[in-house]
Amino acid sequence: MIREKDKIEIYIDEGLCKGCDICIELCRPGVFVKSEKLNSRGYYVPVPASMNKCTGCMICELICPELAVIIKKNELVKEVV
Amino acid sequence: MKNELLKYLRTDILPTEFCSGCGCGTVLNIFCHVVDELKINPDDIIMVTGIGCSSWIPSPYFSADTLHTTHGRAIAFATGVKVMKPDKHVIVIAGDGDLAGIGGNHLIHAARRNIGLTVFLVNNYIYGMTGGQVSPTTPSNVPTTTTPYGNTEPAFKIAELVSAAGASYVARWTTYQVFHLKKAMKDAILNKGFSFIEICSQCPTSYGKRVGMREGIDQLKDFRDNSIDLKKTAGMKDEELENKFIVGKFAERNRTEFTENLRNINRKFDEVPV
Ligand SMILES: Cc1ncc(C[n+]2csc(CCOP(=O)(O)OP(=O)(O)O)c2C)c(N)n1
Ligand code: SF4
Ligand code: SF4
Ligand SMILES: [Mg+2]
Repeated sequence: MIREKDKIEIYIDEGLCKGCDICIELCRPGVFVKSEKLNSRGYYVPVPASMNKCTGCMICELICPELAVIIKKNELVKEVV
Repeated sequence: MKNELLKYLRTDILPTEFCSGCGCGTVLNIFCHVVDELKINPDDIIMVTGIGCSSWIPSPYFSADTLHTTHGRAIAFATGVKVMKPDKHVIVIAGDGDLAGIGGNHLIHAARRNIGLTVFLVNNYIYGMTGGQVSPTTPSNVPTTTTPYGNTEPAFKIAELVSAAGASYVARWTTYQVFHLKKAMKDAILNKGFSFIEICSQCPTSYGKRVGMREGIDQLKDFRDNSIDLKKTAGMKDEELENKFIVGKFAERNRTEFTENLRNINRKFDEVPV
């Protein structure tokens, strides 16, 4: 399986996040950490601190109850995975 | 950056009213992925629902034509919609209290008739919205607002019940098994007859805290650690399966669909010369 790791980008929609920590807990390679920063609703949003560890599995994007996690893969990665 | 799937939602009312970590949001999220991947035009979907937190998944959040009906009556309304609009995807998403409690009779008879509806029952084991009253799916011994000394009743096994009643597609998955759930939702939507998924989902606020799982993630870990593949349960004793989530496909069978039978009768009379 050929894959260029830097082709995956992770975005968190801070306006939607409710700080449930599900992505932090369930990401197997441990990409996310809790930030020290509160969003406008008073939640500590996660940050993808180790983006290079992401395998592109999509669990976080699918399981996020607020549709706040976005995994962006470029076309090449999409084809191979 | 914004999630492209937000185009399927009524975004002016986001973020959702769901509690932090609630499984209802995950069901909504996966449903949006499914509609997108199947390339279904939301104009071809009619959402029908009842009352409860789970009933908010289709209404107000999902942006399609919607009937938000009285408590328990979603399937009754959806039946009428499907008879008149057989070409539309008529999709019901509602809770265990709504579909298996007050609306339980509609559920079993819709399965028996094999009406071409897609029904996603979000089973959070409780009446979430009203503050945690016992539901027909609450496990025995669990203390709830209305059973403060523990639930003295056994729980309905919904997927098994709907399968026995004759539905043509039945599955059970939890909000932890996101890929299986996504695939099952696609299969259910594409299947012609009555298609049903029991989705075991976390309700940290009204259920989880009563069973020592205060956060949504705690119940997700319970789903992860205690799910068991239906195919592996043959020969297992009831005691071994206690507190397990039996997941998988419970039924996939070919039966004529209810509205098709109705149309065939109509056609018969249309052909009678006057
Ligand atoms: C006829 C009627 N009876 C009772 C109620 C009060 N009520 C509102 S929601 C609800 C239970 C909802 O439980 P469920 O369907 O499991 O949804 P959840 O909130 O758990 O997702 C009840 C009893 C009502 N709205 N209408
Ligand atoms: S896609 Fe998978 S590996 Fe990447 S951040 Fe999400 S959960 Fe972690
Ligand atoms: S009460 Fe339970 S089901 Fe309702 S929004 Fe809160 S966590 Fe979700
Ligand atoms: Mg419920």
